[in-house]
Amino acid sequence: MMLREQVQAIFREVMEDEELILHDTLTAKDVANWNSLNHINLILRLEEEFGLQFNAEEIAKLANVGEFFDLLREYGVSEK
Amino acid sequence: MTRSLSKPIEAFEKLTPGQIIEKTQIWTASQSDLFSQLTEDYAPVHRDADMASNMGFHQPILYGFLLISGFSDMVGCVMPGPQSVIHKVSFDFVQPTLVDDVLLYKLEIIRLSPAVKTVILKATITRDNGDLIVQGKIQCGFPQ
Repeated sequence: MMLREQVQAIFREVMEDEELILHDTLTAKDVANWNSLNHINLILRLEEEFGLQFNAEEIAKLANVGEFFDLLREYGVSEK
Repeated sequence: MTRSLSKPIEAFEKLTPGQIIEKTQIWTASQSDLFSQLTEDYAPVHRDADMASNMGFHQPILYGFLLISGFSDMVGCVMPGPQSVIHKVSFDFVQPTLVDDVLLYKLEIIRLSPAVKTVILKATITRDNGDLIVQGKIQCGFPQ
């Protein structure tokens, strides 16, 4: 599975939106269920899925989905 | 009611995976009555022996929401403690339980995420004979 599909599946699960399509400029404002709790749940699921632990500073800086992917790549996350 | 809790944990940084707290609790008939009044839940399976019997229980069973409320003081006052708030809970009610059963409540930290200051706890309730009554998870966060 491509990394984008893998991350998109997690977003869909957490946001409970099976139609959600990720693109790099997507932000929380664009997704109905992307509230503060689901943001936490998203981080938890990504950490679990890819077996890593983010730090608070890098999470706070993320402005959009594209930067999520950049961060995952910085951690060396590759496609399954 | 018997309690055996420790001092409150005052900060996320004091938490470690594997930390455990436990307490023993016995829910009485008067507490069950009080719960039914507070919640206005008068479902007969909790109050009427004949109805409980018709549903396959030999006596009225304890309210599920009362049962899990026993975690409230553990979570709020000890671990993760007064600096945290609940995000999410999920419970499986594996077996019914009755008033005056002796119950062991246990919380164990199974995961920490410093990035979002969130802790996930495994929660179990067992009867004093070892039977598993409830198992679940509680997710709490430390507001930043």
